Amino acid sequence: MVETYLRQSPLAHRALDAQVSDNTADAALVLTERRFLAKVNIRGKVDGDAVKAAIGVALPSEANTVMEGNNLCALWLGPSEWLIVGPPNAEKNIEEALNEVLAGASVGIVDVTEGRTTISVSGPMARDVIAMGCPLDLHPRVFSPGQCAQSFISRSPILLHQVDDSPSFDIHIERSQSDYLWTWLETGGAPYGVAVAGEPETTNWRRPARRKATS
Amino acid sequence: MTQAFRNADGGLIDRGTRINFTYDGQRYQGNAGDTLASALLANGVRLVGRSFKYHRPRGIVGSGAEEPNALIQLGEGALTEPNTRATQIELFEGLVANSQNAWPGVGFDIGGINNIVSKVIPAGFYYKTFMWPAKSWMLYEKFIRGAAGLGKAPTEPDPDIYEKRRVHCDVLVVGAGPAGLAAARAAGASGARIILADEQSGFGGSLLSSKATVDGKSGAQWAADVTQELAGQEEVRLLPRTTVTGYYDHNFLVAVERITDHLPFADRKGPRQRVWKIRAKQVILATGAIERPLVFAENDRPGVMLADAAKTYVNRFGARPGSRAVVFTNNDSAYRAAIDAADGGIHVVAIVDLRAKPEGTFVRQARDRGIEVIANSAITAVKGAKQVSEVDVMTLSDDGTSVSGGRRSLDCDLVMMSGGWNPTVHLASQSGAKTVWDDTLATFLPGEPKQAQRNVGGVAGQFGLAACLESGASAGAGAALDAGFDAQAGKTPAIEAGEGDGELNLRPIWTVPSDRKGAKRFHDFQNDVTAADIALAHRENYASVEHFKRYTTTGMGTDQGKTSNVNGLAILAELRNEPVPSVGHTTFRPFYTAVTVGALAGNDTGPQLLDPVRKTAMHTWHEAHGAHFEDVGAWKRPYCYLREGESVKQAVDRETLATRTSVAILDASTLGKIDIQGPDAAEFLDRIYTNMFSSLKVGSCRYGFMCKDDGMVFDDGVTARIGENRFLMSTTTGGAPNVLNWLEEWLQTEWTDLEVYCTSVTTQWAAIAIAGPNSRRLLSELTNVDLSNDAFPFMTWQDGDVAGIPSRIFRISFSGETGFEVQCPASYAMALWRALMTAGEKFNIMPYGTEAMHVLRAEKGFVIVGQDTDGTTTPHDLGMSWIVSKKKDDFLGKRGLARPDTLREDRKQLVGLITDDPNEVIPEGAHISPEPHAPPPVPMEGWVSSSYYSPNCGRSIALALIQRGHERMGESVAIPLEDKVVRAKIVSSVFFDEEGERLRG
Repeated sequence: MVETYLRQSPLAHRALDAQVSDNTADAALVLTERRFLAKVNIRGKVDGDAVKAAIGVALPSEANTVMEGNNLCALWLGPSEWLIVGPPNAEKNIEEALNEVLAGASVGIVDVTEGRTTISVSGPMARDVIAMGCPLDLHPRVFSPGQCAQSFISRSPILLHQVDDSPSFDIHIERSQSDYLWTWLETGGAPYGVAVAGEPETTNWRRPARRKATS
Repeated sequence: MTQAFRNADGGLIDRGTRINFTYDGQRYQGNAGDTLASALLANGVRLVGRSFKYHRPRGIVGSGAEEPNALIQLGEGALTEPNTRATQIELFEGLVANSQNAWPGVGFDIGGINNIVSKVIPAGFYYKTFMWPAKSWMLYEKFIRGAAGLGKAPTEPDPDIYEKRRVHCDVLVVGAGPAGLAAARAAGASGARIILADEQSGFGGSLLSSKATVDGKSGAQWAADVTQELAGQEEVRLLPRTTVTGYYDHNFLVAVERITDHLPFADRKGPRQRVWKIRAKQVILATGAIERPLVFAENDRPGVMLADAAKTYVNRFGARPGSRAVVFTNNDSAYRAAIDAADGGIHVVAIVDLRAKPEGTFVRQARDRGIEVIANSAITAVKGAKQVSEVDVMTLSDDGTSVSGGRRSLDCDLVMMSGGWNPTVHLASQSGAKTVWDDTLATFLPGEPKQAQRNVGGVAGQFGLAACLESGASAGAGAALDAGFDAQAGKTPAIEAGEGDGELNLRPIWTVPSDRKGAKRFHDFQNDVTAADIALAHRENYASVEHFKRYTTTGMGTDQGKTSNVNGLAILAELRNEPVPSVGHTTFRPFYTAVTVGALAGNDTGPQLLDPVRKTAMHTWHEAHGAHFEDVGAWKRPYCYLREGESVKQAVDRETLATRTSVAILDASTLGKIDIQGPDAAEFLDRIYTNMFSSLKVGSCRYGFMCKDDGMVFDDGVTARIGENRFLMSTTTGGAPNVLNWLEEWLQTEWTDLEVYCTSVTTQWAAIAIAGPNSRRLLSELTNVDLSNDAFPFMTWQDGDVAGIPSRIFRISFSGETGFEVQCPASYAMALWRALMTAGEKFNIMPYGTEAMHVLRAEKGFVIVGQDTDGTTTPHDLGMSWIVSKKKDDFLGKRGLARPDTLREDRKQLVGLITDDPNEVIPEGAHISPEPHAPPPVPMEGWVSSSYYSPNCGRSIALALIQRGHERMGESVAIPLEDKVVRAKIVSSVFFDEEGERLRG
């Protein structure tokens, strides 16, 4: 068994735990690194029902929307591409469950957990600071919780997911550019007040019980 | 100083709040609500600048963005900003302003000599004079550049911060005058998302300087009430002090908001300016109109001012720009200004009208007030050096081309002129709408909109207040409706603007005649261009508008011809004997007014944010261990690791030697990795690579070449077969995104039948190359995987734990040494790296950087795509014909490789070079010449692509692409450098371990 204490998130060098603020309520922008979230990419001709049965979340068919279930989020990335996001350490089991149920199908299932990290952005200025570099229309009439979109912030490609209407967003970012994006968000929010928050709790993922076929 | 020209009451300034400021070293006081221009006028300052070319004394002409003369060097030190307009600078406590383009000062300016010799420096003077002899331009240029330019840019870094913001809306209203306010109100009531932007500090536009009433209140009060009403609506965003500067495709507009520029320095916090990038469903342009000067003799004297500007100073600021005014006009609007000026305490001496029988409503009102109207007449001379003191008036001929009769002199210190109005069509024109000429108004109006856009008020040629309010409300409702909202124009507010609201009755006389030969009649104040210059340009056949503009410089400079363009074009049209629209106009380009570069950069500045920087999982270790970084694409890669007291060359030599003598490790994480899955993956790779991959066994890997369809090498790398239908492709560091795009392009557009799925996993896996004779011993200490040659042959891979970390081990080598590459999940890479460094201590392990890697591979003759290839290099040129499959039916580049040109025998081919002097390292990129001493252009037969000092060979080595290189082994070639000619011998491109025993050992 690998020693998990050896594991470093892409923003580990920033020692964010030591920066966590007791009072984030007054901050215009609240940033958090959500470390090690499981991320599995699915492409191809996928049987959505089989996926739901295997991992407990359905794949959205509507563009730029997110389905939730069984502690997982399924983000629509393209007409035949999704990203499953789950709690830390679930990626191997998710990948395995998907490979099992989709064996022989024309699909590509790839664990991309390690290649990305997630920066959670919330607070009253969250939309405005993201809009300093992102061309998406994030107005509540247009973009709301449960929606996601691939775009960019300044010159970094991002996958943006609105989590709630507080508002709070999860930005999935390529790990090698996460340091740049963190600096960028901090700089943009600086005139208004930025705080670092602790990571939210996550619930471990369990594979749904396999039901017997009723034939 | 007292404000001798300030009225005791009236206007929108706050007389209770005094503001101290400094202009040209002198201290003055103004009031809250003042602009620098209004405060200067209230203090009796009339001379505010010197003109660009002749250094003639100049005064304030306008009251807004159109101001050509009153250019100010604002602020000091790092905060200074050149070429700002006094008419748009809000006064703040402690403001420091200086005039420009004059030395030692505006009062006495040495450059004024240019005015005396102006006869010999007409338009085109520089073009004609400094052409001969051609090579002296370098000398002339120095002096001309010294004389050019107006204000001075700061030399220090900009201490301010700026912000960029993207914003979307249903309706964008540009301009918050009566039309814009009415539009925003009608649209806002529907619940649509509205942005209302205006360049001034307060909304109201012309209402702020008008005496008209709306809904029974003053125009300014009505504007304030509507603004308040709008501010209360949730989806309305009000942007005062915001200039919409550019209008682009798909209703994308850029605006610059000046957030803190109007505040005393101590109160400035946060971003100084914000650039708004606006995407609007509907756009309403309510940009108004700018008054046009008249082109008459000596019309540039300080004290000659646009009539509406004078009215603005009196009505809005309670500041009198003079005491005795002569009004000079060709239309009715100046009469209204004259009446307001008279109400404001200025003695209006007379109104000189170019029209034979002026008789509009306002003309009657002026006459009724006892103001003398001198009809059918022209001002033929303006006297006074630094301020107007007198004008001459003569009778105009019927056709308006000459003057006659007695000369009447009028004593005055202010001339209020009006030549009509130019709608501010800039943004409309930028949006793609062609302008149209209106004969009645004698000006250009915005034509048929090309985007979802409407024009209301002054910009649409509506000069009456009622028409502005009505068209604004109707456009606001229409735009909201088109954006999907239920909107109504509502009731047009009742106005009391008087009869004749908006009437002009204009008589265009583009060049006002004078009996004075040689008197300068300026149409472009800032660039010192006169009607005579236009005639000269026309005479010399610079008669097209584009030529005319550049020959005379009309419309250039900081004001971009806001007051001068139409007059200039009309005068040119008369000379060409054509109507104005057939002469046309030059392009209205963004930006409408100048934008601070810092605002455009926003936060994206400095080493952290100028460009995204990509860092590997071991980056902080590298930083802590002396890494000297180089940029590879967006990545930071260690070039070498400097030890105390070491030079870069010493470090590279040390790392290169260590790799061949013991063991060293390299962070290879940046190389691109693409996961390729699907039933057709093997077939897909056979088409992508020049060599065969379907024959590759699971557990093995193979080096592959990719060509573009023209047969030229595009990328390379080792690809491993992970499963029957799954491959892991590696690419060059810089090429990774392009390769993925290339794969997707073929899958999505050409080979849609193939079931293959590509996913980038470049940073999913960190990679560490372990190279050197001790690499096996080192790695075996950290893993249970059998690393022996039999169990783990060259070009295979196996999964296994390394230092307890689940990893994938590849038996590959780019150094030519026995070597392994370990890939592990990126979050464990730092732990793995440290474990290797610790376990390797007994072998004197050290990290090596990209330069040692380059030297090592060059010793082996391994190519780097992009360094030893340049987009015109085939695999055959590189001597790597073995990598081009002869068995496959097809692959990308196969046809390209069969073209006659790619089969030419005299192509440049990759060879090794060794210099006669073993210590001579040829600069990379040096040319190889068959005749190194020939006069330029020196013939060349090739170039040096890679060149290093090789500590392992004990001499310099180089790779070169040279014509027919492969058949010229042993031949001596010449490499001409700046100061000498280096001689070298053509050799094999493999310099070290030609048999490859180390690699496979």
